[in-house]
Amino acid sequence: MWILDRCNNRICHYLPDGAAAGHFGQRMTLDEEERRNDPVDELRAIPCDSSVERGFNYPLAFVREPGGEFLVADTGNRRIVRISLDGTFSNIVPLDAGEPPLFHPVALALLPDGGLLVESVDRRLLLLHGSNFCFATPIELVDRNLTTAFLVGPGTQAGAIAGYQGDNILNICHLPEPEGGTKPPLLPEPIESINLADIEKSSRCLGTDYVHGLTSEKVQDFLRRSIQVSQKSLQRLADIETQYCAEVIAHFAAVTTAERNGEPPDGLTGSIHSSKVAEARIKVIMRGAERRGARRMFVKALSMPVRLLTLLPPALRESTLKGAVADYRNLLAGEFEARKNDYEQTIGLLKEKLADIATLDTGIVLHGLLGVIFLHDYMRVAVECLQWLDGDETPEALPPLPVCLAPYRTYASEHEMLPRNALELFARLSYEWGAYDAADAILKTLANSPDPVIAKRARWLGLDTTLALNRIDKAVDVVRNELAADPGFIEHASRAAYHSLSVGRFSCGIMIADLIDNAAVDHEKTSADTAMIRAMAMAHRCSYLSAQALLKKFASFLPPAFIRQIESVVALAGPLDESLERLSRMVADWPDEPGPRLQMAIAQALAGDFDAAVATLDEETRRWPSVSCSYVRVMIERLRGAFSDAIVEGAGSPDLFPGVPSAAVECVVAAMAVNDEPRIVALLTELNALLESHPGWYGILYFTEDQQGLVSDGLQKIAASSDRYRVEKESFGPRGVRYKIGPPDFDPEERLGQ
Amino acid sequence: MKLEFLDSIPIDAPGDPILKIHSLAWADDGRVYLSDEFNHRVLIVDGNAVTVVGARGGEPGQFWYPRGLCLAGKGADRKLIVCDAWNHRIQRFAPSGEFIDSFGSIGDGDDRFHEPVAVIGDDD
Repeated sequence: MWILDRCNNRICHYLPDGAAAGHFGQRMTLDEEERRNDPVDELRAIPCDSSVERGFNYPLAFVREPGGEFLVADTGNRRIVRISLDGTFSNIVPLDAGEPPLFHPVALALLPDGGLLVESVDRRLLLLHGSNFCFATPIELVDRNLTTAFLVGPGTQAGAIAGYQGDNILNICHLPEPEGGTKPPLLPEPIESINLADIEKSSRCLGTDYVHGLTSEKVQDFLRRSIQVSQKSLQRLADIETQYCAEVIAHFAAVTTAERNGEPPDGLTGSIHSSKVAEARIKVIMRGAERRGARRMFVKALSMPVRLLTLLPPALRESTLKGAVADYRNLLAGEFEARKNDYEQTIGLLKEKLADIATLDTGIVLHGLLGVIFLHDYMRVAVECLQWLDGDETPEALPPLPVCLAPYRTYASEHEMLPRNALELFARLSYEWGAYDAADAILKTLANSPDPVIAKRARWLGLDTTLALNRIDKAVDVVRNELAADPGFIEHASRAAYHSLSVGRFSCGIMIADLIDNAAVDHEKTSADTAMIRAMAMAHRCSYLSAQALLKKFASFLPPAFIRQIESVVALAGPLDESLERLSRMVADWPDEPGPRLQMAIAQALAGDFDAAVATLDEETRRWPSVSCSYVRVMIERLRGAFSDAIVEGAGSPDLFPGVPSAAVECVVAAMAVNDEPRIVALLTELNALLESHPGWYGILYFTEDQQGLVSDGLQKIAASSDRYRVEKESFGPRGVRYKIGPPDFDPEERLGQ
Repeated sequence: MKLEFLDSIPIDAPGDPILKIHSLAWADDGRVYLSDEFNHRVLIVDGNAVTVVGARGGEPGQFWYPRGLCLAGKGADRKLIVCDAWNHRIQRFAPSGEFIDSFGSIGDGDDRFHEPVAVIGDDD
């Protein structure tokens, strides 16, 4: 038998007597973010050939084709792979292919006619069919509450699919013949005899004969399709194989053109021409990689010229491409290596320095640390910052202490920071500032501390960075280990559960709830929480009906009021019209219950009925003045797009940072959500008006480099229109820019230092 | 394209209602095997009769989130194989539901599993 061993990322083979007969597969992630943050995977990211794709990221399902090949739902990598008997991996559906992209496949079923039914984690069904599964047809469920459990029955039930909708009734459904070719294909349809595998094969064995058989139309057509596919997936840097094929085709196209123009096919001209084409394309890719700061792409791109080199006639390989290739390679490998070294060196240096500077003024230490955080992508500068800590001079390049840091500074001065605490603080700050990878690296160091308290705190904070990096499976492992060691971890665990739910990893949420229940000492305290987690997971993962069935179970040990509260939260799950119906019934049935109206308002806002949502919320506030509705109000106003309303509403909620009106914080959040010019200008205008009417307020706006051009004009206009305001521009992080706008005399630091 | 409804099978399972069926296997004799994941049990549906196999726990024949299952082997050797995901083991049963044996525990070596989720028989 074959067993899919999920967390070991492998397929194991066992003989009928239960003896192990080998396994294959390893952990491998295609996720750029995850790769960057996992040193093990970083190593694997350096490719030699396509074997880099030979692994899984927590796969959830597999089937076996009649020929013996496995099709695996490589869930974490958002792809479906075919594994041949010789161990070759090939993408059936690559990462993020399709429109909308196939999202985390969780279940597979092979139909008798060869079609492959796929369920994604968001409960969409897709039928893949045609040659090499090149067509994808979305499948609608008869009943939207139906949850599928895939099955292809034998005999008379061949082709039947089972669905479950609760109430202990299993439905048997049937899929009609797919209407071939009417839907847009996921992958480029193979052109007659050409497909990706063929091209790769022929390119490997220098298939010049092969290319002569192609007409330029076919090449053009294939190229066009390849690019169409790769444009989308390039952004996720996953479908490099297609891009690579496009490269090969571009090369062939150039040769073919040269040939048609009467130039010798294998001669000097043709090859030089093609090498120029190749070079130009490599440059484009490099530029793209550079702009996106995509390290994996750099590495991938590096290997590309080498591949192209093998395509050239032997006599020309050395002389034509090698020079250019070497230049690119040196340039990029140098840059890559330099950064990597700087990073290690910095961490090392940091540790050394921190041991020395314990006696220094804590503020200065923080200042230096902050430099590192700001510039965590520019480690060389950071090293300089640290070196400066030895001297007396203040480096001009160091950014000013940001506003939000003041509470930490106070904390630090009150608590006489020790070096190891400083390291921990560094991690916390990195986390606060969104430099999760930096935080993660430091926490890993701290987790090895001989001091068990420090190590434990590092591991616990590590959960937050793990969650922020969306490494849910890892988070579940952390929760499992920590809970086993200390039930005090429950609060963190429940946060991890809610986070899992919020990113659609419902099973993980349930697992964590399980772990909490097992570890809990005081069940009365935790069961309400885990009940909520379970019910929410069930509502989204299965159906509202399943959640209700679950709530019936909970009714025996949870107070009815709490059950009603959970019910109102889960009522939001599923199609919006049904949610609205459910919630309005609840509001009518339990007019005096706090909660249903909040959910109702959210549903109304989601449905676009903002005035009704506000009215519902007003009613809730009237009945329950003590219940805070401000987050829902902000949500409604943000959905409506009226930022000033959101800001004013936000101002009513407790301040996140002492001295800073939350309005400013809300404003930041709102600003980050905006990405088009008219809205940014509108936002700035609103902000201006707001500042006019609230003396003493100031706003902070964060933008990316790309947005900078269009905001700076607007801000300058505001500054020019009134001498009562000052606009300050600062760089923020490696690729961001920050504007502060406020009265001429505002000094955020001073305000916060009080 | 829409799934067409053909038929429905009521499952008269005792105790808690089924919340989600993780996996199904359909035997040639018409019996349906399903893993009732969240109730930690496997159900065998044979016409109107439902046999409950297992309950939550770590003892032989018990489950902690049963996931994938399949029928494998021919004739008298036919067995029901169940991935007992959170006990990190594989359990085998007779088609009628009697426990036969189990193997595996948490780890990454041979005879070790870390959340087995799906199984395919050799003769499938």
